[in-house]
Amino acid sequence: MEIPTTAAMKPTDSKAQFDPISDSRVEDAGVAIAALVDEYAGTLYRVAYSVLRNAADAEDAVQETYLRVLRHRNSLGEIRDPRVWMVRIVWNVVLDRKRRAKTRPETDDVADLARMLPASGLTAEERVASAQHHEHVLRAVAQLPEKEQRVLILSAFEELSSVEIAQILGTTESTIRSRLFRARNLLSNLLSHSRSVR
Amino acid sequence: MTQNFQNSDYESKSPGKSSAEETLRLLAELPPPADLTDRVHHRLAREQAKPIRRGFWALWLPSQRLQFAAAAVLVVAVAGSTWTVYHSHPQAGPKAGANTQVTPALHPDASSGGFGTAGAERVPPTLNPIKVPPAPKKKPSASKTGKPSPKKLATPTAAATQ
Repeated sequence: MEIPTTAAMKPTDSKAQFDPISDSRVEDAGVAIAALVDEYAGTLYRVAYSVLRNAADAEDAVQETYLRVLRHRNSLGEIRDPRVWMVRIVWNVVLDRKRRAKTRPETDDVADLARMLPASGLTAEERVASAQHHEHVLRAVAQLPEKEQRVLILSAFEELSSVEIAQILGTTESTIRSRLFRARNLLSNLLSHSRSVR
Repeated sequence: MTQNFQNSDYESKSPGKSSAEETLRLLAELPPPADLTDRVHHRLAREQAKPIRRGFWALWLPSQRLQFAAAAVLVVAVAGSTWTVYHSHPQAGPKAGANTQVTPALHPDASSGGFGTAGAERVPPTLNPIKVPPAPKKKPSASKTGKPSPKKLATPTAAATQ
């Protein structure tokens, strides 16, 4: 998506940078940010929810992301890929929130989350089995090392390529690929181990 | 356009993708609340309606670069004045070859009562010591009558012994 560029969002000359922000420029930036909300709020929410797994926290993270965008409204014209830029912002917001929440005891909501995942076209017994499977997978993902876990979560978003994930996490594409390979190996081992225990 | 993970042959051979990552994919596709965008719009509108806070500096230095430059000038001025004040005064230490007066160090127990150099006096090297001329010795005159010294009384004269 292209950010609707206005005269105010184009790179300004050095002389204009010393001028205070006029009301018209603020309005133009507001229009551009409103377009970003319509386009990417859903994606940002899903990214936030996949980590936080709490609807209210995910929505808070999305709102905080757009507030940060609002603070950088004067430099919106310099952003090449607003989608990756905003996912990176929400990712940082989410990690910051998760880090702060570490001090509190984590609630055991994996089972609830597993029941929330869609299971259309299944019988009641199959739904229960599917929910149990999702629960095992989510618990296994939670046991992965942090870096591998992050790459695995982001790779589940089909709209994000490996290059974009590398940009979001601030690393190279080859690193992302190796981490993903390691994450899948570890996840497979964890799941097979849990099956053998059962 | 970069290649996506799901289309890559590399990923299709990876273990555990089909079953485990399907769960993560389902999680990533959970729909957001219907009125999410409305609430975000509302929050942003509220935030934009707030008056822009401008500090004291912004009243006469609207640009951040100017504020930074002013702060830098202030720092340089303070540092320069400090250096000037420090280097304008003569150093306390004696210069080599200069005519200096050395103050004898007092014995700790002599007059300071055990407080080291508490009684010492510093004499500035620039101050010329005042030379007091020695007092003239007066010769004892013959007409002067006084008590004889005890020494004279103790030693008898040669005439007396004879």
